[in-house]
Amino acid sequence: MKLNKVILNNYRQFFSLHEFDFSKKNNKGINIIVAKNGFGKSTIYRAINWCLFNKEPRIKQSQTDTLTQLNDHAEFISKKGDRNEMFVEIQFQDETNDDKIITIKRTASYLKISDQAGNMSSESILADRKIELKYFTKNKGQEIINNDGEVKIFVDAHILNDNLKNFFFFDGEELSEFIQDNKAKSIESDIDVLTGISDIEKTRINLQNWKKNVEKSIPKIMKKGDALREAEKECGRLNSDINSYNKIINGYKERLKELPAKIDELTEFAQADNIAKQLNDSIDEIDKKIEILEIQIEEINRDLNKDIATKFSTLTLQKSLQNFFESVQTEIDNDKLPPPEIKGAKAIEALIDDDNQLSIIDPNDKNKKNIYATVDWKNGINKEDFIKAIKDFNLFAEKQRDSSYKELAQGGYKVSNKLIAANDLKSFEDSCIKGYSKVNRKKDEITKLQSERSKHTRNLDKIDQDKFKDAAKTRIELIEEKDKLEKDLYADEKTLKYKKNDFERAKDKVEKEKKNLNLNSDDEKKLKFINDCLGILAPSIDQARKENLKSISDYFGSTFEKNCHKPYQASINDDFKISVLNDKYKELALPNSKRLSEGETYLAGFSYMLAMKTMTHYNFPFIIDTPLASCDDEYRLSIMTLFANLTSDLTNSHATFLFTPSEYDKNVIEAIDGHVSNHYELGIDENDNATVKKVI
Amino acid sequence: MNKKFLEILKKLSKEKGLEVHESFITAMINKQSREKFNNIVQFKSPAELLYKQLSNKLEDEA
Repeated sequence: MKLNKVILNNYRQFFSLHEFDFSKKNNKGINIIVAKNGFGKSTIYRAINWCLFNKEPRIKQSQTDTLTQLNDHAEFISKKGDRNEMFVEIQFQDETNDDKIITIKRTASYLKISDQAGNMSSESILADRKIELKYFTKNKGQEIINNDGEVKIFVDAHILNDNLKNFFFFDGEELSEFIQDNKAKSIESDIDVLTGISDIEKTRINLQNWKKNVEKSIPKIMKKGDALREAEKECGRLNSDINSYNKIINGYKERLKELPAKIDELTEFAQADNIAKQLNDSIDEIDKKIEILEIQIEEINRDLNKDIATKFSTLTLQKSLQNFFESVQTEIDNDKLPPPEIKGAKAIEALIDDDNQLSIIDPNDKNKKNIYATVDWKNGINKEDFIKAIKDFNLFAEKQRDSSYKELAQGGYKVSNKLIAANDLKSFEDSCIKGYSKVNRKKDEITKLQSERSKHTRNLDKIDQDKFKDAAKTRIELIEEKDKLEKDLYADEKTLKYKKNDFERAKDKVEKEKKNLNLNSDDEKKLKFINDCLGILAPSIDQARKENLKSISDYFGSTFEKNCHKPYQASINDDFKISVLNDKYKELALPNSKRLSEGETYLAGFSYMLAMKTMTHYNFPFIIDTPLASCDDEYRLSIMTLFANLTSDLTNSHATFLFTPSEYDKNVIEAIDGHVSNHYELGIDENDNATVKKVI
Repeated sequence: MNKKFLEILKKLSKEKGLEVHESFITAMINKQSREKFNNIVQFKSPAELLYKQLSNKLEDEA
């Protein structure tokens, strides 16, 4: 796509209408605009961006509102009610068809609501804003699009993709920084965009999403496939169950046929066993009875012994008492009991002498008496009266003693007689005889039971107990087995019936799922088709990426090496980093290292841009602002010569340079001499509006 | 479209006998480039249509 013309009207410092011709003439592919900073160089680029993308790059957000875009002078001189129109129009020519001219015009108009005469703070309001894109098609002739969204799609698809803006317009300073930063991610994505791989990649992603979309019926397909497999599995399982149940049921039936005869055979033995069992039970019963009788005998004997012992001890006591009291009576009767007396009365008399002195002869001198007291008799009593009183007392005490012993002997007789009365020996003897006869009767009973027991034992000995016992046990087991088998048979026959029904249903399901699967064969075909597409698309992308990188790297390297003044080797390596090696293979293009001179950095940047443009065959025109601002003089000639040759070699290639006067030096003039199609100089008038002078 | 990619795709599809698939991919990439499908909804409709045409063609050939 060739850029032919840019027209500005009241856009920022461009008051009124200005037209810039950028068309290529006589195979001369370079346009130049020379202007001091602030005279409108970058405004031209902004105008193009605004027109194409409705954006103004590299400008403060506060300065991008629509009123600020309107030329100040145009706004100032207009009167109240005037409509100011601002527009940018760009004309492209499709290089594939010279007849095809595309013009895009973006307009914004403003209505003046107060003028400078009435109010010094003049204002405008946005009255209208529109976009118009005209293009020619062979079939329909000229067509017009005036919807912002549709214009954007058209521009993206046919003129300049939004992602490629940085290759359409750039700043020399920015390019230098780009090389210094050496951003791999940016290089990788730029190559993808320029080589069209990003569109191919998007197609791959869309194909994958389409595949997922189709696979929404894959779950269905899988489900149905799974359901068929599940149904077939269920059929197999049920069939196996049915066979197992049939085997089990047949086994039950066979066994049930045999069991009744076997049970009958064992019945006779079981009866014999029953008799033995009864005999054993009788013996056990007799043993229990004997045991009870023996306990009873033991109890009677114990009671009798106890009574005899009690009776014997009572009789012994009675006899002893009797003897004792008889002996007491005899003693009293014979007056053999000693009388009670105050002993020593005579001695006391001897102690009191006639002088009523109480004295004792000295043990050491028999002739000497030791006097201890004098007795003071009271109430006219004397020594003889006192001795008489002692004798009277002894007499009284003797009488009292005799009376007490007599009472005691009489009481003893009474107790003894009472004991004799209580011990009725006759009834005691009768009671004993009765007890012993009871014992004898129980012993007889035991003997009788033992005899009966012996009889049972003898009968039992005649029976083969073990044999009959086993037979009876076996018979019971067989009967239990028969009962269980009958129950199991009933339950299993019922289960078998259900299983057979389930089996029929599972068979129906298998048929149904088979039909369902056939219905989805179209989806499967589609899925296979998409998978096959992805199978060749993905490796092709990978391979193309590698080859594209190699081509671009080679072009970049050779361009740089040819124009570099030192023996450096340049390339873009596999991880998308720009590499510049010196003659000792030391890496110079490290981020922010500044190992490359300014000129070398500029050369690397332009070599990269040219490599991308040339090797990707993407035809976009360059517009380069301040291309050589801080570039070394020695490289200016080389870089501009590079562009001059490129634009003349490639028919559809052209570049527009926006120089400051200091950049536009003799080296540049020499390099591009004979290659310039259009040359403009920008100035500024007394109203700060840009002036445009066409030199060539 | 990227020439190298086309060459590689052509070669690979021929090796695998997937020429019809290759024409489908090429057509869809061209559509992607022109119409800028941003999502599967935009992509699906032309993809289905083209697939239908190509699958009919494949069946006719078969």
